[in-house]
Order: sequence, then structure tokens, then C-alpha cells
Amino acid sequence: MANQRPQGQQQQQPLPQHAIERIQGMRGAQGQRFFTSDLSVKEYLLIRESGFEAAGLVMGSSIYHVGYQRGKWSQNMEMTVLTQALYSARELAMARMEEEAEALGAHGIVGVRLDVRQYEWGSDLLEFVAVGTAIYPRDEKANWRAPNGRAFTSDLSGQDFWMLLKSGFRPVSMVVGNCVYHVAHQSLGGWFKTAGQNVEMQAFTQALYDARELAMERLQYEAQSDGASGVVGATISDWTHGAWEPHIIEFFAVGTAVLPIQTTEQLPTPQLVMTVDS
Amino acid sequence: MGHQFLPDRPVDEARSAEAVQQGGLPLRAQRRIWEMGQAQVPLVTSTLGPAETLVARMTGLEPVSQVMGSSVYHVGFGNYRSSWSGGELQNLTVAYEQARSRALSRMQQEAALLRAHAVVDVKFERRGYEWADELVEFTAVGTAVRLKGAPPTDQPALTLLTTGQLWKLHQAGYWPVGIAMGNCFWYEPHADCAGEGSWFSQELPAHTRASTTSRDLAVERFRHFAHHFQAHGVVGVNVFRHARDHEWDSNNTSHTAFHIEMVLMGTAVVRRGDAGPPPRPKLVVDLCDLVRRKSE
Repeated sequence: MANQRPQGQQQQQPLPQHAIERIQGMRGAQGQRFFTSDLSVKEYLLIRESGFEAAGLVMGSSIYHVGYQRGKWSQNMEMTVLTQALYSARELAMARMEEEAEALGAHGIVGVRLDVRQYEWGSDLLEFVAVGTAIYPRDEKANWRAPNGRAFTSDLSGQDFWMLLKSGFRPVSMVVGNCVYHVAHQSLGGWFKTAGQNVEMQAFTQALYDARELAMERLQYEAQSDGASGVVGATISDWTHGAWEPHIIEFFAVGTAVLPIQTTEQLPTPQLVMTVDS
Repeated sequence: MGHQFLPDRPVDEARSAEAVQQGGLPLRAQRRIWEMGQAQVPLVTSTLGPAETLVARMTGLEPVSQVMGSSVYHVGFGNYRSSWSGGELQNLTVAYEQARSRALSRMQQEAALLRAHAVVDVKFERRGYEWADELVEFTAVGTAVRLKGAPPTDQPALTLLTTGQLWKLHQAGYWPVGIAMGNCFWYEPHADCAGEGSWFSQELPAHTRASTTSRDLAVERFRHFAHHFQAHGVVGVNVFRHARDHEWDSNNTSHTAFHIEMVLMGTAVVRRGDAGPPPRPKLVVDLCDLVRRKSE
């Protein structure tokens, strides 16, 4: 059974003391800001070009004990306990990262990466880490926060962020959806019947299909509840945890939810170019 | 954040299985698509990044939703006797062809339910799973788009091209009609090298035969597929060739067998009737690249 606590309870935990000190250092005592960032030079330039300044590198982490869930091994099924455990762990890591951004007075976080780490010293432990660069607008009257009043999050690079604003959209939140699925051990009867022939394994097709659809559905649900009008750059991937048996797969969908903005700027027109120096 | 977790809502599994059996979509997939159409505030999902989305909108393509298709197939060698003189492994060829077609067809069905006209940016992948070495899964993931002012279709055009490439293709006066493919598995049980140990370099006739015949068959099927779309050409063709030798024993003598798989895949295109002459590209010098090269 995964170690799961109600979300609200953990989110109210204050940030670790070191994090608070680091953030206070970046805010600067006498209005002298100092920032750290994982942006490349090009990204940094484009962030500034979009009217933003970097506030600092922010992160959030959550170590989860991902336990064992008993299942009917002859059946294709979602491992709901594991799905929810991994889902909450990511939410917590993201929430902590957002808290750091709030403390910096940032309006959003760009270039967010969500990693899973496994450690030798605890095979049942997974650490979820969210890292990104918090930014704020130079225009003090502007408000770029998400509709719910919190800092926006986005996995877009600086270049993509610039392009998104140029094309009349703004990021709202990085949305995710997941599904941990158990694929049935060979349903032996069916297997041997088909041993000689090459046919579609419908039960497997359906199982893996369902798992991906559930992950996508959850991503869409998040985007809808954040009041977004679209999701750009949606990707879906799968992986399996070393401590699980290989029949258990997590499908993970991630993307950036966006909203249109009022803009008077014309869409930039691309031009057909050929580089001479290649 | 504080997102609520959306639990799974059960569907009629028997009906879902029946749909899959007929090459259709599982009910959960149908429900997701249907609910997207019913939503009060429509939500657009897409695999495209901001730049790609922008190009899509300028070209008159309106992203609707990320769509996907998948098919898991049992693919075994079957019982091939050593007395068999070799040739095409038709069972395998057909199985892989069907698995690919089913995955693409399911993605197309999702797009058709969304009343889309095309699916762009299709990523087509093949994967195996640790727990079953005779299973292969093909997945296709792309973005369904609508074309402003186009009549509805129940066969949205699939393309492996990104929207940037699609825009260039459009500028050049072409439009995609579908993904064409052709494949072939070939097996030569007696691919022993006659002059093994000799100093002379020589051709390996069995290997050559397998290689050329399998390629010819795959290309022929590929062309036939493109003809089916009444295409004027195929762009962005990917050629996948996987070949390997393996040893087998019979009456205490060791033999070499040669196994080869050829796959061709590309986007079939047709000429547009209304196309003007293609624009001339502007010549540019990319300073970023020059600077980087200097510093390297």
C-alpha cells in the first residue's frame, strides 16, 4: 500500500528552512535582486524580449514510498493505488516548486522538468523532482498568473514561450495525467490457441489502449479544471519501475495548458529561407 | 495546484472487446473523443509546440485533438523446417503489415470521430515488451486537424510530416493523402559461405538474393499502396532494414541462416490543382551557427 496522505495536509507544510533562506537571498534585502536560472543564453534573451525577468531557479521534490499493490494477475486492470500515489507525488513536487515561485513573487515558471529518480538505498522509494525558472513581468501592473491566482507553470522552453506569446496565447499550467496498468499474465488458453498463427492480441491492444486513454483523459480533465482552452506539446510516454514486475507499466501524459490573450499584434509570417553556410 | 484525481469510469468491457476485435476503438477511447465534442468549453489538445501550432494556424489548419492508435500482435516465426529452401516469411510480413494498418486505422478513426480532415505530426513507433518476446506493439500518435472550409470526410488524411514540412509542401503545390508502406520478411536457411577461410573476396549469393528480392518486394508493395491513394508521389520515405545471420545445427554440421526485414514508409502526396509556382527561398546566413562553429 502506498504511503498516501491527504493532499491539503502536506501542502501547508512550510518550505524547508534552507529553501526559505535561498529564496530570501534571491529576492535581495535592499531591492537588489539576484537570480539563478537554468535557462540558456538564447532562452534568457527571449524571456526578456517577452517582457519578463528571471526571478530564480525553483524546485520542489517529493519522495514517495511506492508500495506493492495486490492484483488479480490474470486480469488487465488499472493499479489505482499506484496511479494515485504517483499522481499525488508529482502534484506535491509541483506544488512545492510553485510555493518557491510564490515566495519569489514570480508570476510563472518556465522550462519545468519533471523527473523521477530511483535510489539504490531504497528500492521502493521514488523521488519526484520538479525544476524550472521562475519569472515575473517587468510591467508591475501586468498580471500573468493563472486564473486561480497562482503562478503559471509550463514545460515550454524560452523559445517556445516567446513563440506562444507571439501567437496570442499564454501558459496556464503544466498538466499531467497518468495511469499505472497491469497487463495480464499470458491468458494461457488464448495464447496457445494462437501459438502457430500471427494475429492481433486484442486483450493486450485494449489494455494498453485503455491505459493511454485514461492518462490522456486525466490530462484533459486537469486542463479543463484550470479553465484552459487548449493543451500544446502533449506527449505520452511509458516506463516501468525496477521494483515492480514488468507487467506493470505507467503511462504518463504531459503538456502545457494555454489560454488566448488579447493581442493587437499580427501573427508573424514565416518566410521560406535557405541557409547559405551549411 | 490541488488538482482532483479523475478515477476511471467503467465501460461495458465485453462491447469494448468486440469493438477492438473488429479493428475498432475501445469504448474508453470513443468516450474520450465523444466527450471532447460535447464539452461546454471546448478544449484543444495537441502534440504540436507553439511554433508548430502557429504554422498550422497560418496554413488554415485548426488543431482539434491529440489522437492515437495502437495494435498488439502476436508475431512468431512459426515452424519452419530446415528442409525448407527459404523465401519470404509471408506470415510475418502479413502480421506486421496488419498490425501497422490497424494502429494507423484506429488513429484515423479517432480523427474521423472528431470530424477532422487530417492527422499531422504522426509519430509511428514499434515496441516490444519485456514480458512477452513474441508480441509487438505499434503505436501511432499525432494531432488531428480541421481544414477551414473543407467538406467533411470519413477518411482523414494521415501524414508523417510536421506542420512546418506540411507548409513547405503546400507552398510547393502538393498536399498529403495518406501514409504509404510496404514491407517484407525474407529467410535464407542456407546462407553458408562457400569459400569460407579462402583469401579471395567474393560475393555471398544467398545474402545478395535475400537482400535484393526482399527490397524489390517491399518497394513493389509500397508503390502499390501509393497507387491506391492515387498519389503523384511519396515524400519523406523512411527505409528500415534489419538483417542478421544466425547459426543452426543439423547432423553435427553447422549452417548459417540469413534473415532480413525491409520496411518502407512515407507520406503519399497529390498535386494541388490551384497551386501557383513555388516561391523562391530567401538566402540567409545563420550567424548563430557560424559563431558556434568558431568557438568549437
